[in-house]
Amino acid sequence: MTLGESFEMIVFAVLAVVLIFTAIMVITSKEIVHSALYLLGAFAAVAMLYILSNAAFVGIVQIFVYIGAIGILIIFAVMLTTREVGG
Amino acid sequence: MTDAILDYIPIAVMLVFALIIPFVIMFIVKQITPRNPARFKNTTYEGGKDPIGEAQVRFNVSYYLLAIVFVLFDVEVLFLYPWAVCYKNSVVMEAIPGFQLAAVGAMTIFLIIALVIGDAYAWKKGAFTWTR
Amino acid sequence: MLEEQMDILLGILYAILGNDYWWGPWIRGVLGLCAMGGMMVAAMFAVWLERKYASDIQSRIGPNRVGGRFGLLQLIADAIKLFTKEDIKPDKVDGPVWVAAPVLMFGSALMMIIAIPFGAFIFNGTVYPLAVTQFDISILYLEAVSAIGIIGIFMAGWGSNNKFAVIAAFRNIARMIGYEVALGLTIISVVIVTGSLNIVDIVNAQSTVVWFAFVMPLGFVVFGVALIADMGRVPFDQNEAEEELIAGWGTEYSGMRFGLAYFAEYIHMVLGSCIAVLIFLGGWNIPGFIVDLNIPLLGLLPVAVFLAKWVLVMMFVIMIRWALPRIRIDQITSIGWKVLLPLAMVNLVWSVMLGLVWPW
Repeated sequence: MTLGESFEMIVFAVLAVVLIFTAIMVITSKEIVHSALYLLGAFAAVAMLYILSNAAFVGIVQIFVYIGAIGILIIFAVMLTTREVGG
Repeated sequence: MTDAILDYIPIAVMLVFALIIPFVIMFIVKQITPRNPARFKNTTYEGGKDPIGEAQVRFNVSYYLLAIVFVLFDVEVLFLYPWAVCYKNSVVMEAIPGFQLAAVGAMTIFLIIALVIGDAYAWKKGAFTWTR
Repeated sequence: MLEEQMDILLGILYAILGNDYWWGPWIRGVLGLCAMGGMMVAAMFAVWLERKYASDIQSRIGPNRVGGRFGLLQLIADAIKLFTKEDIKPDKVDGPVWVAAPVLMFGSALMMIIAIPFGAFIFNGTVYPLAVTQFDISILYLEAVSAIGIIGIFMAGWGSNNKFAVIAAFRNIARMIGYEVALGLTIISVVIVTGSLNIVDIVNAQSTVVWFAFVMPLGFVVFGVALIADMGRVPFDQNEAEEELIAGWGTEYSGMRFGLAYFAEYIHMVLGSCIAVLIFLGGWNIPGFIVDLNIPLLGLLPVAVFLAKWVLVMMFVIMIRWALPRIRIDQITSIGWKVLLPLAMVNLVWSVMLGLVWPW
């Protein structure tokens, strides 16, 4: 394994841990807006994974569409729901 | 490690630092600023009165309409990027005769259907009109 | 003689900066950190410029009276004040979201630096841009990274748990999404003409013929308005519409925490004017005149030209802020969707026709 490959593995491991953590937080957060924000974090980690696997265009598009547009949509959709404190 | 990844190493370095720098600044600031928490100082600002109710409430549906139109247009603009790079690429044009005409025609139809009709529909439905 | 020296110099530079060695990209990363520091200085310069204009145009008491020569001491006073103010954390804020918001705004603004070439050296007809890194989709990257800032604004507003902040955050998102489509459509029209997503290629395309501001004036106007709106500057600001929203999403922030977000906005403004110069105003090119390092003493001319244009655009943006009143939020959305978007579409059609004959 060359230096570059081992570096790639480390970055992949970090991103995978971040992705799994944010994904778990999405379904376990008590606050629905926190879930939405963690989901955006998961999108960002996925975008970096795309870039790591040499698909830079898809990665940037992931940031552009999912964080920039779908994220806003999800947040506005969340804002349509009733919020019960501690619910 | 492949060559294209190498371009993104500076970005990774800067990403790490861009996320660390604010915390470092806040740590330094924490050492030098005074700390005097007080009950009234720490209340939510609402024109000097005691805050009434919660701020994190339900919001108007018109924001959602704007967002959904935005997603539509954002993705459409994104479809234009790969098209713009290759519609007059000389390699593609030599390989496929009549490519340019077909590319421009296809994109015109797509834009008329998606952008123009979509915009007109959203406009007519009043998605862009601010409701109060 | 000069040519040989330049060849050696460029060879050394390329050995340091090129991707041929494993440490090349890391050195670029360190250079990026230097650019980050430079950008903070530039943002402070922008703050000073803004205060200077404010005090001169509206006769406000500020750097026109105090601060020694050119009111430069005012800047230092501002910095000291921001650093030493108490950082108040209200009881009802949503802790993690409230803390993360300025970090996200600051980080996303700084991340834009990397794709921007701050001038270039031209030697023997080859352009060596002074960019931290060059990659093929840099303009898409810039748009994507600046779009992350919206999430930061939402987090600041919602995390503050303050009615003014929440309303301001929502209006901000409505403003940004209204103008981002028009901005994207004008940028894509430039990409259609040049056929490249690389910002250096776009600047180089303007060296042979003319600037894109001249060949598509409509696109330039739409881009300018959308960019000012996207940067959240007056007349399109809902960030701190003092009369209606106290201090916008920043109501519950104080001290340096507010300073970070404030700085992020200025970095956004500085880089936004930089992008306007690069893609519409010819970057480091002078019309009808190609600077080559073969001509002695002209080596730094492209950088100087770029900086001059950059400062002029920044001055224009700042002047607009102090000359025009703020427009209402319903007018902001209707201008974005009902005026700029159709105009951007017209410009798109024009750019496709232009692209078929470019370069003539």
